[in-house]
Amino acid sequence: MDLPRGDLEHLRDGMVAICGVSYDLSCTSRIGSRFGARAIRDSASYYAGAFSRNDLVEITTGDRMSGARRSQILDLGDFNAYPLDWPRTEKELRRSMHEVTATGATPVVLGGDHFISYPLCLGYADAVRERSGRSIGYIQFSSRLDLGTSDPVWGDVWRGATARRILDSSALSPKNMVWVGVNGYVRREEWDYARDNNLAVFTLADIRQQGLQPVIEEAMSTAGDGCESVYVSIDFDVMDGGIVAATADPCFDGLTNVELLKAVDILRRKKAGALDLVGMNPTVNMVSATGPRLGAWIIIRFLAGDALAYP
Amino acid sequence: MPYQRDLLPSFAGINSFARAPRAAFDDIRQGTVAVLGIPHDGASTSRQGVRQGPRSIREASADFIYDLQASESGALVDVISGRVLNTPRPSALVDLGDLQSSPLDLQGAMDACTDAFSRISKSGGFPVALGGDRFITFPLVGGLAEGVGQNVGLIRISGQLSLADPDSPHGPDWTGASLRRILDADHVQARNAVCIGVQGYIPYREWDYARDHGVTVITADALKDHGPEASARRALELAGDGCDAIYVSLDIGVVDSGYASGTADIVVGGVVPRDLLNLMRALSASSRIAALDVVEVAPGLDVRGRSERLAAQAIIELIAPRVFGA
Repeated sequence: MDLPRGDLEHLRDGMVAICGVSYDLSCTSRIGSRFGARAIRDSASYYAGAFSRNDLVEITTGDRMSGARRSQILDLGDFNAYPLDWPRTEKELRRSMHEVTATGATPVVLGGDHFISYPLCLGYADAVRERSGRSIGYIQFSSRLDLGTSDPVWGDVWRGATARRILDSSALSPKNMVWVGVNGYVRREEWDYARDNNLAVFTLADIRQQGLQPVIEEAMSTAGDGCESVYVSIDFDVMDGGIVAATADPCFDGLTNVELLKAVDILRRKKAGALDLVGMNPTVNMVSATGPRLGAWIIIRFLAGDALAYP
Repeated sequence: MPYQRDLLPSFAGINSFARAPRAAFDDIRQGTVAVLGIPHDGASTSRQGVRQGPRSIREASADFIYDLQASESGALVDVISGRVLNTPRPSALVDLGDLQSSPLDLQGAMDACTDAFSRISKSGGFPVALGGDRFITFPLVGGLAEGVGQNVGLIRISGQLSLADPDSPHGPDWTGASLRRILDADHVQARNAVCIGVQGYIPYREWDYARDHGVTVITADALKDHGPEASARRALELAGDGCDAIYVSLDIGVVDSGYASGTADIVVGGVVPRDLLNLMRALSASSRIAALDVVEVAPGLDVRGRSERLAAQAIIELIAPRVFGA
C-alpha cells in the first residue's frame, strides 16, 4: 500500500506492524510462497492511490477508512529467515515477533508457508505473557489440521506439524486452540488425535450447517476464553481452489473469498491481536492477480476497524 | 524393484498414477485395478491438448498419494464424509503405461483401445483409462463388452450428449459422435445408457434422439437439485438393468469452467467439484462398476493445474473400495 517503512523504534502502542517472512521450504509440494509477501505488498499498492487522495468506504460493511491514518501502519520489511537453517530461522522468527509485539503494536505477518506460524505464534505468546502475565489463544483457518508429528521425508520441519508444535510447546492451553474450515482428506492419525483430545475443530460442513458468523464467533470466544488475546493464522488453502488457486495444493471445496473476508471482519471486531497470512503461492498462477489481491484486501479489511478507521 | 529404499517427496521419482508400480498386461490378476494412458486426440474437433492428459493426471495424483504413503496410521480420512482410504495391498493398483497409438491412425488407436480393455477385463482386472479425447470411450466400451461377453451398462458423466448422426459434417469418427457409435454398435442398449451432467445448448437432433430411444438424461441442474447420491442410485439402477457390468466415463468438461478450464469445452453452469466427487463416491459403492475412463483433460489449458488434480481425485474416489479398502 506504499505504507511508510519503519523500524522497531518507530512503533508505538496501538500501531500496526506489517512484516514479511519469505520462507517456504517446509512445504511438501509446490514451493513459491516465499514470493507471497512481496506479491501481497505489490498488489496492495493498487489501493495506495485511492487511499492517498481519498478516504474509502467499504460498501458492504460500511467501514470508512481514512487515508490519513496510514501513518499508524508501518511496514518493517521482512524478518530474517535462513532457508537452509531452520533452527536459526525458528529462533529468529520467535525473537522478532516477540520484539515487535513488545512495542504494543499489532503484528500482521505476510508469509511464507504455514510452518512459520509456529515460531511466530510462540513469539507473540512470549511478549503477551511478559506484558500481562496471561496466555493467548490460537485460531487457524486451513483445510488441514496440521497436527502431524513428523513426516518420513520432511522430518520435523514440516508444515503439516504447525499446530501440533504449538500445542506441544505448552505455551498455549489446548482448550484455546481452534481449527476452522477443515475439509477433504487428512491423515487419520491427525483426525484421531483431534477427536481423542477434544480439540475445537470446525469443518467446512459445520460452517455450512451452522453458518459462518456463529462459527467464527464461537471460535473467537473459545480461543479467547481466559486469554489476553488471540493469534489468527490464515492459510490460503482454506479457500475454494476454484476461486483462488494461488496455493501449493488448491482444494476442491472451501471458503469463498466473500466468506473469508466476512470472517476477517468478525475477527477484527472481536479484537484478534495478531494475524498471519500464509500459504499464498503467487507462482502457481502467474497470469492472475487474484491471490495476491485477495491477500492485500484481507489485510486491509483486518485493519479497517482499527488502524485505518476514522477516529 | 526400484532402487529407492525410502519414501521420496511427491515431486520426485518416475511418474505413474498414484505412484502405482509399473506392470505388464500379463501381471494382471483378479481384482487388479489397471491404469492405462491413452494419449490420443485424433478425433478431437475443438481446443487441442488432451494428448497431454495421461501424463498430467499421473503427475497430479502424486501430492495426494504422498500424504497417504507418509501417514503414520497408513490411512487418510475425509473429514466431511468420513470415508477412510487405507494403504493399498501390493498389486491392487498397477500402471500399464501408455497405449501405443498414433494420432494420425484412428483405426489403429481404436483397435488398440478395444483390445486393451478386452484383455484387462478377461484377466479379471478393472481397467482405468486416462484419456485422451472422449471418442475413445467408444472403442473402450466395445473392449469391455467383448471382455465380459455381453452388453454393458454405461454411465456417462459429460456436459455433452455426443449423439451426433454419423452423417454430420464431422463424419462418424469424432468426439461428438462417441455415444451414438456405442449405441449403433450395440455395445450398450439405449435404456442402459445414462448421461449425467448434460447442460447448455445441445443440437436438437441429439436431444430428440435421446428422448426417442430412451437414453436417460440427468442434467447438471437435476444433479444439483436431486443431489449426487440420489442421482447415482438412479443411474446405477438404469444402467445395471439386465447388465452385470457397468462402464463409467468421466468427461472432465462436465465441470464448470470456473473450476476446471483444462478441457476442450468451456462450460458455464456446469457441475461443481464437490458434487462430482460425491457422485464418484456414491457410484464407487456398486460392485457392478467394471471399468472407468477419464477423458478430455487438457492440462495446457488450465494454468492453475486444477483440472488434472480434480481428474486424479475423481479416479481415486471411484476406485477407493477396490484399491484403498474404503
